[in-house]
Amino acid sequence: MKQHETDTARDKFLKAYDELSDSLFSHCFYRVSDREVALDLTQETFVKTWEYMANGKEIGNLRPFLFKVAGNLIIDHYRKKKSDSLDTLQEAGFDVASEDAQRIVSSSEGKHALEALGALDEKYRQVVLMRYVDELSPREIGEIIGESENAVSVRINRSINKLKELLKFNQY
Amino acid sequence: MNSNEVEHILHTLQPVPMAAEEKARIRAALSSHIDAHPAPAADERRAGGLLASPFMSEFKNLTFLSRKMTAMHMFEGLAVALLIVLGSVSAAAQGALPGEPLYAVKVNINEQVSGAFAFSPQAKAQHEASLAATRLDEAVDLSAQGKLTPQARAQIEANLQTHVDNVEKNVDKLTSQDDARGAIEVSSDLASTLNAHEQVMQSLSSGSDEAGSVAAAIRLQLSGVSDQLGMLEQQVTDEVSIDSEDQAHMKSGQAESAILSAKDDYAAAQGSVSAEVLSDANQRITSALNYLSDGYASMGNGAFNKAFINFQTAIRYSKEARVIIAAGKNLNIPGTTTPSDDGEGTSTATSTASTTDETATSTASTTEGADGSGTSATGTSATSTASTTFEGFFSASGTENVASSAADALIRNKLSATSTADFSRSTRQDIISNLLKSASSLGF
Repeated sequence: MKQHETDTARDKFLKAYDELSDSLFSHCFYRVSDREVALDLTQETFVKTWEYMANGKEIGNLRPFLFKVAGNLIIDHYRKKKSDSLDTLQEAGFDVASEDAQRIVSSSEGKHALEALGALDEKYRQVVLMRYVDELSPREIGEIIGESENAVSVRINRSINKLKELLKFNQY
Repeated sequence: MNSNEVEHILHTLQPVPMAAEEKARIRAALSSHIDAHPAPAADERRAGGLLASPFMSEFKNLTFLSRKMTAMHMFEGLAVALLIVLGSVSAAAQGALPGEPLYAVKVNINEQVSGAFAFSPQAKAQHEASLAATRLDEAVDLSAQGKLTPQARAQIEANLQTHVDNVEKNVDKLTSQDDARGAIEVSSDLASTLNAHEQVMQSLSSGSDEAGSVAAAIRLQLSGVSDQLGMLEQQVTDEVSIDSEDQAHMKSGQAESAILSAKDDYAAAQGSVSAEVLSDANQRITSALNYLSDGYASMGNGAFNKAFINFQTAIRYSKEARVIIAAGKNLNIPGTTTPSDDGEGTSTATSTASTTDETATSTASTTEGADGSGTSATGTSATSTASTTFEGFFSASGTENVASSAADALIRNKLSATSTADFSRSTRQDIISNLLKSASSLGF
């Protein structure tokens, strides 16, 4: 369409922001469980991605790329925070008691799911969130975390099995 | 419970959207960031009319491009046109200096807008620190153009004070949130900015009383910031933390990239800045290398907190070098050495390199295990011998050159290794011990 050719890269990038920022934010939020931090991470993700493109580098598919950048920033965030290192996070699960997290999940089923998610290892939680909350395809998830589509499907399946056990254990 | 039920429960977890106001605020910040850092292709388009660019091919896969044109889009079009006009003003204002018409737009709109989106204390502190750096860059630019009037000088000094106060406030907040490492990072960045600009303003002060006054104002701020930084360093040193090793490791990577960037800037600046600037930068890069080496030594001894601070200090010196080089490029200091003099300079450096390396070794060994006061002694003694040491490290000819490029390659290899998020502990140890070996062969 002619309209497309006259749009500037800038406008297109902002449109991409309009369309994709909510799901990016949501993903960051579920990963870090802190609204302010998730907002910072979302902004940083788009800023970094713009800088990447402004340096003339190619991005094939923007959505997985943004999730990849966000994923790296989230890991950096945990590395920086001594009290919440990646290790402690993996051991203790993420902070399900956070007020922010409690407020957004109203159903009791949701609360159970959230608790079970919190008990999952970080690498499982990441794929579960991407698959069921962010609704990314296994192929896209593979692109983001640098694994094959098959490996992602296996990991999702394992996550579901783990969740099954966890939810059975906390039978409600 | 079967898998389907689990999936069903997972689907009850809804995506969490941003509040409309949050979304709009980040959008505005992003938009002003894009204006401040336009893509090269976008620049050409603005100048040469609305031509399509290869840059846009990146967007072809996106679904939003296939949406149909509706009446709504016409309104959007108008709104976008208005935003572009405002955006252009804002972009033009980005380079304005005190006393120029668009300066008010820069300070009151651009900077306020970008500041409104720093949410966490660390982001706020970093924002304020970058504003402090901007004020000082303005002072350098004005002074270089001979336009640093008493009014502009007073304005810059007052703003500097405000920004530094705001950094300190947020650094305190970070400390009270138990994030002394985050606090150190910001505080150290601010110290490097102040230090480097003090040096630059001081070099300009012979031609201008105003520049001398700014230099004095910076020194005043610096003493407060240094006190705060010293306390934070003490706090981190005493801290018992489960992930000190990871923190130190992460910092080492940052320190290496910072040094490499400074080194690249240094190499690129040959011939385009004065010999004084080169030698200043050289001293700082050498100090940074010394601290990097100290950091690895501390890591080897299991003193991870100390290593963290060593690496952070290396980053600080690297940043100072970069600021000094950047400022030097904007200044045409009369009586600078011409590029043709550099050949001689380098060869002298080479011939003295081996002797200086010995001095560096002795300094480094005395500091090992010493406390803060000893560390600053390395800084100063390294300073006096710096230029030759640094040449010995990176650009001297002869045997040192082989060793230095090996060290260079090691750092670069290590950087690419750590950029893949998972690094195995054993690889890391190997790389560190290799780097230490090569560092000691260079006379550390």
